Amino acid sequence: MNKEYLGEFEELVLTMVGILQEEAYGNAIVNEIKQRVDRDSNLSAVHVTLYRLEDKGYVKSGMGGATNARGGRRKRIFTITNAGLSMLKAMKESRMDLWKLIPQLKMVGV
Amino acid sequence: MEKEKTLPRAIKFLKWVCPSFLYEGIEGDLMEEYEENIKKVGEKRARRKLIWNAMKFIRPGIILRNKFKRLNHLVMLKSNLLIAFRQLMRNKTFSAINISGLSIGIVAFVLILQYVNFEKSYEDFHTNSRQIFRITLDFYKDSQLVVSDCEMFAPIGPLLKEKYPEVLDYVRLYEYGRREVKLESKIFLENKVYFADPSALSVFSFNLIHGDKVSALNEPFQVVVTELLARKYFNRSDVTGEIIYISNRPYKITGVIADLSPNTHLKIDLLLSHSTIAKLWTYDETDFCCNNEYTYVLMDQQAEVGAFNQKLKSLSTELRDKIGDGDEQLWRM
Repeated sequence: MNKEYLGEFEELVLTMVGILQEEAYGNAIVNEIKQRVDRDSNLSAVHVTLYRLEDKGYVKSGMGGATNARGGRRKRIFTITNAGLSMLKAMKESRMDLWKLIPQLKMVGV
Repeated sequence: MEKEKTLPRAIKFLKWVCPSFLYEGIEGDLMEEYEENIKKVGEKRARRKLIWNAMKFIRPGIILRNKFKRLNHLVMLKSNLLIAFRQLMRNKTFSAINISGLSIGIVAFVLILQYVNFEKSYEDFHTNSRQIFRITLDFYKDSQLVVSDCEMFAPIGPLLKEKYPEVLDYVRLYEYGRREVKLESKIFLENKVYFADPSALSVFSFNLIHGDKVSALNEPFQVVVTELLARKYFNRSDVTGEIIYISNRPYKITGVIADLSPNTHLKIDLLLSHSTIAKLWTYDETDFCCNNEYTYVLMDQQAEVGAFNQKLKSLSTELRDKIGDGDEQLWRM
């Protein structure tokens, strides 16, 4: 039923927004991706993806409080919406359904 | 706050192109990354990274964001297209007639546009094209126009240049017609052969690839060829110094011009030096006997065509006695 399609990187970023909750802004997401899945991502790519997700309605954003670390500049904090959450859930479920269909998974030589 | 002054130019540019509602979040992230990088890799490399990362933000997803309002228009467009398509399908015959009619119309339009453009581009590659005029001759008999001829008498060109300051230069072309060109073993037939004054190479904007503009047509038995012919004869471009036989007379090639674009009325294969004529047959440059010379004049930029035409008209009446058949003539540009 999903008419909207979510790309691989979009899904990753959306997941990170879900994980980081209140602390989900561009730089934190880059660091989180590096930490959790050991993958280098580009700050600008993450930003563009976030805005695209916002267009699709899976996240919303607002300006957070200022901190000294950023020379007084505010952060744009992203939060995942219900639509985004159900999208993630639907993707996970459909993947699990497919996963179950692979017969007799056995690692050879273990 | 002191850091603001030393912001790299890339960031200033980003601030300029980036939508303002996004900018603060982006700049904050950039600066935060920068400060982290200073600890990790040192100030110099961190700064380079900062510039590079700022440049990466200059991409359509950021710059053009919200520049186009999309959703509603797209939905409407989609439904309109669908309706249009269904209508087309319902009336297949009339759709076919309409569409084919429209396409024929558009094709005709494009073809005509091409044609008119080509026609209007005539001679535009000559830098002086607005100042070059050809003198034309109208023969009258008992005030009845008999014929117009664009070939003039040989002395007119020099006379006009001498008499009127607004005539900067003149070129005479004497048509030699279709001629046989002989090389050592090969014989060719060329259609557009002219004798030309040396000034032809400076008045017209022929692109002289090889040879010297000033001296190429000065002496008798010199010839300037187009590059196409040079390749046809000798299989190379620089053929200056070679001898070719035109109507069994040896001519020295003194210049090669680039092939002329097709939008010119003056289609030339070979240009022979004008002074050759007198060596071939009895020919007096000052004789008003015969009008065989296409005469072009290069006019001063300020010169007025109408006023000069009046001068030409009175000059033609003045010289009527000199001209052989005594009929009334009018000259114009």
